[in-house]
Amino acid sequence: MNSLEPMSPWIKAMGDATDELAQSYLGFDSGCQVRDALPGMPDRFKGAFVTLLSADLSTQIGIGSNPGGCQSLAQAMIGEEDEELPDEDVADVMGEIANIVAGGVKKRLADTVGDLQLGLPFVIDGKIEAAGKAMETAVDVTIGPVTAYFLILQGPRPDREL
Amino acid sequence: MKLLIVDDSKAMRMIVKRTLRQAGYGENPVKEAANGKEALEVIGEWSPDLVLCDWNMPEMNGIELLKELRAQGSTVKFGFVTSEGTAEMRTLASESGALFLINKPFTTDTFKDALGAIG
Repeated sequence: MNSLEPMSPWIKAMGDATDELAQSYLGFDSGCQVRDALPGMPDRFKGAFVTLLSADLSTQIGIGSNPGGCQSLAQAMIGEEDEELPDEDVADVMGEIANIVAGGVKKRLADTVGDLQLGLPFVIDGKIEAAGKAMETAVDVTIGPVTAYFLILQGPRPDREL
Repeated sequence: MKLLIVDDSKAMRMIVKRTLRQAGYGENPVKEAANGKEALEVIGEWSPDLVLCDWNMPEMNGIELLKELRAQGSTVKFGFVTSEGTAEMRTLASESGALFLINKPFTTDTFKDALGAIG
């Protein structure tokens, strides 16, 4: 069972940033609700990650769901609720959601973590395996009516390791 | 006013276009580019009046595009629409010649205020 405690500032920042996004672009009045820690990484991750670099740490934050959930989020973002979107468009939306949430996390953690450098979003559909030294956290969330999850992988910056 | 939207996300370009319509700019000619390099080509061929540009993009990012435009002598009006908006980025954007920096997620009113201020 993974614990939320060590990463709680990151989870709160992700939740608040996703809530803002859900109530604006996605049109979900119920916003984002952070629920429980998941026992581990999901067997299959479909979504997108962004890497945030601080002075010493590399933190990758991910937002994902099942294929149907990703489709629902993409339809809500684009405003085409009745039209099945191709995988390419769904991937594009999931990347942009991760990008916007990462920007919101950077803003919200500026006073506690310091300056964070954002990378470009990368989309993944498959199994996530954290590298050896990474701390991993998986959290069950809802974004409007969609069940989703946050993943956070954190470890030393590869370019700062001895 | 001819508008160029520069963003590597197709979904975000759609959202910007939708917001422009809601802000009263639905009749304005609009073109799109997916990164700074593409934008340079469109600007050279089409001469937009305003560039609405993301910051983080592959190939050539937004601040690199703005600096390149100014280095080439272009005075095209330029604003950022980006998920990041630290004080340092706002200062860099302003010093490089940007008129505004709009944070994502944005509202229609934010667009009205930013675009209305430049005429």
